[in-house]
Formats: sequence, structure tokens, C-alpha cells
Amino acid sequence: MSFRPNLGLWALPAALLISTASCKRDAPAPQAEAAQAATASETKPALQIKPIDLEGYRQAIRSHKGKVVLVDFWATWCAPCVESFPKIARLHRELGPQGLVVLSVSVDAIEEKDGKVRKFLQTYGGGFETYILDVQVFDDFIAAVNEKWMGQIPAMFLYDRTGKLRREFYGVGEVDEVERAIRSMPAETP
Amino acid sequence: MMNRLTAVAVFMAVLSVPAVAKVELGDKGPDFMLFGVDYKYHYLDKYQDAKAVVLVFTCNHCPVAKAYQDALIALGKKYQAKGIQFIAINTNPADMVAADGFPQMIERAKEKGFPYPYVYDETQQVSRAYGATHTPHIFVLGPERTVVYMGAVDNRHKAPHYLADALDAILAGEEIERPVTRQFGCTIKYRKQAKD
Repeated sequence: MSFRPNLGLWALPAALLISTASCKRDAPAPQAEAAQAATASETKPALQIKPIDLEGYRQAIRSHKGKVVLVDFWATWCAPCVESFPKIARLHRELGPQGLVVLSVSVDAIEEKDGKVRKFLQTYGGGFETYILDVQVFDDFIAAVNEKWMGQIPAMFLYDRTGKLRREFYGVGEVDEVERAIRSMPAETP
Repeated sequence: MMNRLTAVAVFMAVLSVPAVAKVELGDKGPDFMLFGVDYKYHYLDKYQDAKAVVLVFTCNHCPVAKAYQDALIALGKKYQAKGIQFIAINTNPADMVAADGFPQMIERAKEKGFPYPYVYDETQQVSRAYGATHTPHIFVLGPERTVVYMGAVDNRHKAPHYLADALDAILAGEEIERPVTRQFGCTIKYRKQAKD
């Protein structure tokens, strides 16, 4: 007795196999989507890292009146800041369409803008407005942004739709709290 | 409606803000008894003859704290010769940051030749009592052991040299021009407590 493959018996599973394989091609897998996104961002212009001083900072907040603004102060040397980055990027992606603006401000030394900072952002960048601090006296800047802030980072500040500072968060453990706070901000500008 | 939301937001903000400076200028500096890498305990009375005591809340791992080691060693040597005592306090216990454990502290103090005690705030109670927020964070206790200066060492390794200026003022019996200053540093990893 020879074992001849019974094509009829295999027809159905084979058909299923082929059809599901083509389903996969039609609906891109998450990895494929990410690859497409990466290609798209490669063709965008070089990442802008804008030096910013106190006046520039205030203008940046003002320019987004009507939206909820989350400012993230970070540095390449700050491990918890690096840890927070993808979480902040997720907030930007998910809540951007609902009126959240993320401003990312590096407090690395200004000389590192096109070296360490740019390299870091090319790996971790979340696609939001990115700045690097360029001031003479850091104490003045920190105090002017928030008198209660002593300079610890990661620091995340939440501004309401009128541009008023409402909440402050320090440390990577606070990102969930940040998300809750954003979601509970009033939906309309008063 | 908006006012109520604002009130709630402010209330929540107050609840969620972690320990910012607990001591105010003029407050008596909370005493402590902390074990050092010299295998001795250190407390304020031990230095009752000092003209002032400089508490440096720091740690092993933070890049900013590390970058300030040499500057603080130099300041320590200079001002201890003039009767002001420095004490470095590690604010991050090993369960929060493995690199900040006691054996690592001993290594670091030996390697850098700290001219002052390096003590371990294992429970973080002293750091909380002062309201240290990041490393490095300086608190200077003056002749009466009241807080006369809090904040930064300097302006990111440049002038103004806030701490040196404050110590010079103390030695000269003058008022400190800038008693509260700020600098970027690593948020202290406080353990979650029941009351947080």
C-alpha cells in the first residue's frame, strides 16, 4: 500500500493557508506599519532642535493657546528621562488629535545640540516640538518657569488651554498621573 | 463650574506634588544620625564648633552629582580649612538605585578621596526632612544651625558660584545675597510611603 497524498483532503487546509497568508499581506502587520512610518520620517527634513530662552519658552506656550500643553524637561544624561520618553511619545500620539501639544525641552549643555542630543532624538524622538535650553543663568530660568521647581528632572508641566500652569510632575513614576491629569483637563477653553 | 474644576485641580496638584523644600530659610536644620563610610555615626552636635555645616544631598550614580564631585571636594578642602564642615549624604538607598548602595559609597569616597564624611540616608528620612528634591542639593546651616542657604553649587560650573559666595558671606558675617538657587539634577527616588 503506497501513501499517495490525497489532494482532496489537503485542498481545504491548503486553501485556508493561502487565503490567510494573503490576508496578512492585505492588512499590514504592526511591524510593517512601523517600518513604513520609519521610512516616511526618514524622508522628512532633518529634526529641528530649537534653542530656547525664557522669552522663547513663554512664546512657545502662548502659541498653543486653546490646546492643553505638556512640557517635558529632560536630558540625555538622565536615565529616568530616557525611560519616560516613549510614554510621553505615546501621549502625544494618542491625545494629539484631542488637543494635546507636547513640547520637549532638553537641558543638556547647548554645545551638545547637534551631537549627543540629536543622536538621542534620532533614536528616541517622538515627533513633537523639540527645544534645547540656551540661557546664561539657569537659576533665573528655572525659577521663572515655576518657582516651586528646584531643577530636578524629569520635570513635566501641564498648562491649560489658557496657557496657565496647572500641574507639575517630577520623576518617571509620574507619567501615569500626567495622563490622568491631561484627560481630566476641561475640554473647552473657558 | 470652571471655578470648581480649578479648585479640584489645585487641590489635586497640592496632593500630587512630592516633597519640595520642607525646610524654609531660617528654620532650625533637622538633626540626624547617619552612618558613614568611615564606619562612624555623624550628627550635627559632632560639629558644634564648626562655623557652618554644609549638607550635600548627593548620590553615586547621578551624572550631575558625579560631575560636581571635584568641585565639591575643592570647596570642601578650602572651606573646611576655614572652619566650615561639609557632610555628603547619599539620598538613594540601594533598593531604589543599586549603584547607590553602601559598599559603592565606600568605593567612591576612597577613589575620589572625599575630605568629608559620606553618610547613608538609608531610610531617606533626613532627605525628606530637609525636602531635598534632586542630586546634588545643598543646604547650609549657619552659626545657629538654621538654614541660611539652599540649592545649587553654582551656575552649571560657571559663575555665579552660589555656594562659595554664601560661605564667604557667612565667614564675613554678611548677609547671603542669593539664599535660594536652583540647578538641574536627578530627581531623588523616594520610596513610596503609605502617606504619599
